[in-house]
Amino acid sequence: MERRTVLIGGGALAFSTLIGAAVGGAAYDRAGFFAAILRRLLTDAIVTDEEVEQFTEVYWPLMRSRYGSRAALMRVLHAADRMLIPGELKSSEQLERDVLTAFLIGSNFFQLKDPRNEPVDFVGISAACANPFRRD
Amino acid sequence: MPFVPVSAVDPVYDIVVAGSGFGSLFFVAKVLQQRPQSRILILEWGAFKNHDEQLRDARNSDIPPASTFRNENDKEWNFTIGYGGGTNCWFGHTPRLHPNDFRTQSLYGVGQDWPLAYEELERFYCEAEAIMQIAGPEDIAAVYPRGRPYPQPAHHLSTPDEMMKQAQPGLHFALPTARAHIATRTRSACCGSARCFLCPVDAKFTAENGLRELTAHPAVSILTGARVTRFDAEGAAVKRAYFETGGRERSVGGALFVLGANSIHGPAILLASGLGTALTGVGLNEQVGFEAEVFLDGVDAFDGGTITTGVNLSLLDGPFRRDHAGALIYFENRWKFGLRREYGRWRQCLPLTFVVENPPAATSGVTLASDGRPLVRYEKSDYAMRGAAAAKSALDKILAPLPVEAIVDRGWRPTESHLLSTLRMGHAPETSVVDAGQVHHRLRNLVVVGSSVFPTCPTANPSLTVAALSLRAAERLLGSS
Repeated sequence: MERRTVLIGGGALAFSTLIGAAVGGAAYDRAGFFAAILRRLLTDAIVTDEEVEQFTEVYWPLMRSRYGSRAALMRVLHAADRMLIPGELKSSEQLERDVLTAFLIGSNFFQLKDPRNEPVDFVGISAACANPFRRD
Repeated sequence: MPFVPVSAVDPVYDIVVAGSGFGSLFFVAKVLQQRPQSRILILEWGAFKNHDEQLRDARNSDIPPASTFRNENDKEWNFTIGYGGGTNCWFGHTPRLHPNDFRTQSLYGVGQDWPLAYEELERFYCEAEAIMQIAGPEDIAAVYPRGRPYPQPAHHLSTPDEMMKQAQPGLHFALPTARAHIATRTRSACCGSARCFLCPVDAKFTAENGLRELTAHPAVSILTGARVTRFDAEGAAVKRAYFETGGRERSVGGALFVLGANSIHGPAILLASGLGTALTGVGLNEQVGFEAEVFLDGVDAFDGGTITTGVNLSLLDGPFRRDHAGALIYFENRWKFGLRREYGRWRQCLPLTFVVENPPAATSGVTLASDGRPLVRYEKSDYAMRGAAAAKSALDKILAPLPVEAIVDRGWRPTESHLLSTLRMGHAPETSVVDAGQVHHRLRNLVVVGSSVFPTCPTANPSLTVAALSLRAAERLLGSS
């Protein structure tokens, strides 16, 4: 069975079981963690392992920085599906939205006619002029 | 080059300026316009970090704001210590104060009236907007009367903004902003990078890109790394400013002194000088802010031209201000909480920012701690909290033009990065620290600039008003001397 199939089949379960490995483990596990999120939310869009690994390399340090510390990130990851105080996002929802947004905005996803028929390429995360929807 | 080493500082200047934020630099710009021969020394605590250096270091200043004062609460206060002050970190939102913001006591029995009217400040607003090349909509003049068109056209609204404007033409407007719509000689056009505190393309107005003449003027000397600690006064006049630089205390004399430190450090300098009054440092505050996210059904957002595209004025002003605070609602054009997770509905969400007015409380303020640093305490006003509650209640009705699926409260904002009201302006020393011209009631050669002179804390971001007040203060002073 291909790794991708396992991840898609695992769905939400893969999300929680991959947490520990993603935070403490090797780059491969982090890529698996991101892949679990992206493939679940992007359903049939064509996202290869190589693109996810490229994304992981770029985004992991940013995510660590956003959540302040490894411990803080661990708290967020382990709080998956648990509602925090009213007014805050579900922690897992925020994390997933962060990952999804960084990947989509940093890729050619919104330039593709149908990402289910064409591969999505992760290009990189730009600090400047990164809004693909902007009208001048 | 006006940036000088301490060895090049002369014993006496015509004007000695403490701090180099909006208040100080617009004051100096006006002085140089009218009296270019004036010899001016600007003493700045922080460094001059140019745009490239700020981007490289991913910060505006090497001095963390919280390290410079002691805090009795967990309330955050944000500012930039460095040449240009808040011009570095600001986002460039430039709404004016509403005409009624100047007379809330007379109209609503709340706070203090300002010692000037909107009409008196209007031409200085126009002048400041010209210097900053503000991009704004002409139709907003129906609410904020103006004598001149905006220097630049407004940025493109987002689709949700357009729907709001269609339904509420007198209440929903493109937000005036110092983020250039059209490139200038020194600034790129804003491309919606949505990280304004370190704008990657240098599109927003800063001291470096918008007041270049100050750092090239032969009459100006700028000493960075020089923290003003106190003034020495005789009778009704300040004689010397003392400052620390390179681990040593030094002093400089002047004919006129300008206090342009922020609303925490400005009063602390006066208190350390033994020049405080009962009102010095009293009333530290800023607006109360909170956020919401609106989930939309079938309408895509984020297609506007800049980070924040719309401002809704439904809750800005009215008789309700007798009971509770007014609020501005900013329509964000950035995915602050991320895109949506549902496939294909990525952009059907709309972040909103609420900014609620917050009258200065007598129990909030700045004193000196035992170690000599400013000691800050703060209380939110009940008036502001009632205003925030009213804004939340009114949101369904305000957003009626949009296909709203759900509204989610995203919580309080830790700070608006606006420090206000610790050296308030007014007609009498019993109720204020400086007069209507921003001259200290007792020390007649000391001008206070910046948002510390605001008698109240209206909803609008203060920087444009600070700039306009400084232009006016300098003109009044030069005209009367």
